[in-house]
Amino acid sequence: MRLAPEAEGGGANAPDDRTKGQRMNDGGGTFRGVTKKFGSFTAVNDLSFEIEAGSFVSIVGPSGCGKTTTLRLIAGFEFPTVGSVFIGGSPVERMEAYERPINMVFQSYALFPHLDVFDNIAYGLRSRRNRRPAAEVKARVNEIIGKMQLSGKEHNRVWELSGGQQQRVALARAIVNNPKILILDEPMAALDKKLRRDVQFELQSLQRELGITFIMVTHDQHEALSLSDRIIVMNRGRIEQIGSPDELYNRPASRFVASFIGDFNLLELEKPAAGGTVDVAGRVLAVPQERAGEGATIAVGFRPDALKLSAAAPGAGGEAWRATITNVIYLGDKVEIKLDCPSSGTLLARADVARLAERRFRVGDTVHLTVEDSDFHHFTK
Amino acid sequence: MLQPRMARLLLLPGYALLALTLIGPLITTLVISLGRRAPSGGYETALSIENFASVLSRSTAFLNTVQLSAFGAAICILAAIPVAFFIAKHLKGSVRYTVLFLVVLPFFTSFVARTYAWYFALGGRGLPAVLEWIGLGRFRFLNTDFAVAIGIIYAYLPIAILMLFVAFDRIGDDLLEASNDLGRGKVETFFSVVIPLAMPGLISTYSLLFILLSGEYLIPMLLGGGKVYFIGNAIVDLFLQSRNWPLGSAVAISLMSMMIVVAFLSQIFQRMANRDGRIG
Repeated sequence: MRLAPEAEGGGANAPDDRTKGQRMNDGGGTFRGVTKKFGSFTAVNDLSFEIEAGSFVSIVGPSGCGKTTTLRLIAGFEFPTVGSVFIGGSPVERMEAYERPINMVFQSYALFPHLDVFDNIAYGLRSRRNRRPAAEVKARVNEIIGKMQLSGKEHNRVWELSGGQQQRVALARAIVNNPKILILDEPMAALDKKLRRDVQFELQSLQRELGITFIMVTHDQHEALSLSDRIIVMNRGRIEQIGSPDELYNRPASRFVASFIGDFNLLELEKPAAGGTVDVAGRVLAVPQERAGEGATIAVGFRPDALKLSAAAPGAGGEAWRATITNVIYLGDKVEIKLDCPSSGTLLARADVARLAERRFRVGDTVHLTVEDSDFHHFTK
Repeated sequence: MLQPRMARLLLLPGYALLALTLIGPLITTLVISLGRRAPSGGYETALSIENFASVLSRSTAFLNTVQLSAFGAAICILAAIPVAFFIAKHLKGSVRYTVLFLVVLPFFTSFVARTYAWYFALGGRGLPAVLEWIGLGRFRFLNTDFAVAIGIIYAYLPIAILMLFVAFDRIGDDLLEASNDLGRGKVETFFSVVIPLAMPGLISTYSLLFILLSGEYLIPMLLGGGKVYFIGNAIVDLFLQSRNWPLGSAVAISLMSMMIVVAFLSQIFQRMANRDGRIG
């Protein structure tokens, strides 16, 4: 990665490539075999991944999965027990937080209560290490205050601000230092639901505008899906899958990812299917090519939108199961229907209201279920 | 819910005790301080403020007290800051509470016994004998300002550590990390985040120590041996030696007034620091 600009030099597009390569070197992040133990507890286990410079990356997972530790390893608040961390191509795993070209937006915002808005934002530019001339500090802070719509609040005490304003101060305080990577720890956790959506859009625009790498930790998969270029799904200190939101949703690598990203109907197999086919409640499915080499299939499943309901038994070609409707949840443009299926347990179906217009499903109705073979996901882990 | 009348009735015993043990003696002291020394010592009814004018005759004691209290409180705080900060920000879980317990452990022994221990340790057959034996020369510690300072710091350091621990403990780790994240190392963070946010705690610790120290009597008596003369010692002498109760009372009232002024100033400073620092 480091050699990329030289290797690409000389061609007609060299300047462009160089800029791109430079940025890659500047704000990319790499974990190589990183393990972090706290006593006998392994918080992060043999983590390896690359983060492309200028991308928006989310780290998601349930609480205790190691995502916060990963973030603290990047920021420099923790140091790996084993392994290396690179920022822009240089190893940083022994560097203190104050030496790293990274800034962070804390979940609590961690604004300094003894300083006003201006002094909070200027804090990094007035550090002994990165001290800038007073005139420059003033100009840069004022510029960012304007950008973050905090004009007029310069000399307010930070605890007088609303939650949304406090968050913007925290963001401003971080990005005013021109970090190579901006880390966001659960940035929406303290905001109410309505504000959350606005902030999501703002964050996305801000990241595009600044072009710096954003790494966000969240337990909210919707947030990760809607904001990120790439998502790192973690579970029990390990990476389950890294991919674009589309890859994670449509090609989940494990049962965990399938259930964690979006809703999923998971059918565990009683005994692993080692052959080329899987028997699911009397239905025989061929194991897809890409899973063939991974070992025995232990579970299959499908997204709620792949499940079709019909009152009459389907004709030839569609295998059907019967189920009883237990809940009907109206979501505006969509309807979610919860079903109790004797062969597969509880299932969830989701369909456009328009598509269901001619049929009204009621709680207690018995319906036939149809899922296309191609809509089934096969899991070996 | 208790009826207000009932609640007030329940408060009566407390008030009565307070009146009997605090307000009563206070008024008695005030009355005596306005009286006259009887020819044979003690108190004779009169109404004059000449005793308060004579308080100045004990100005050396006042000066000693203020100097050593101000100095002792400052040394205690400076010595307590690293310890308290370490306990509050670097120790976790049970280790932290074990260390805090060790800090208060000296309180399980009588104050007099502990001060006597220093009396022997600093006395002729203690530390000076050891130093002479090593060949470092002849030293005299007992009956010096140094001995009194040692005794004061030893006795009041645990209080300073406990109070500052509370002040530091209230500063969130996230603020220290944020400062670190924004390019400031540990030392710079300590002076730009920890000290400003702990300021109300530092002020209240300093004034409490100052007030406690200016009422000190045992340490200067034992370790200062009459050479280092505190107001406390002056009051005892006035009452027990020269039996000049009115002057003793006037000195006592003056000392108390000084403490009230210190407490009042402390309140003002704390409020000023609070306005800057939210904590409270």
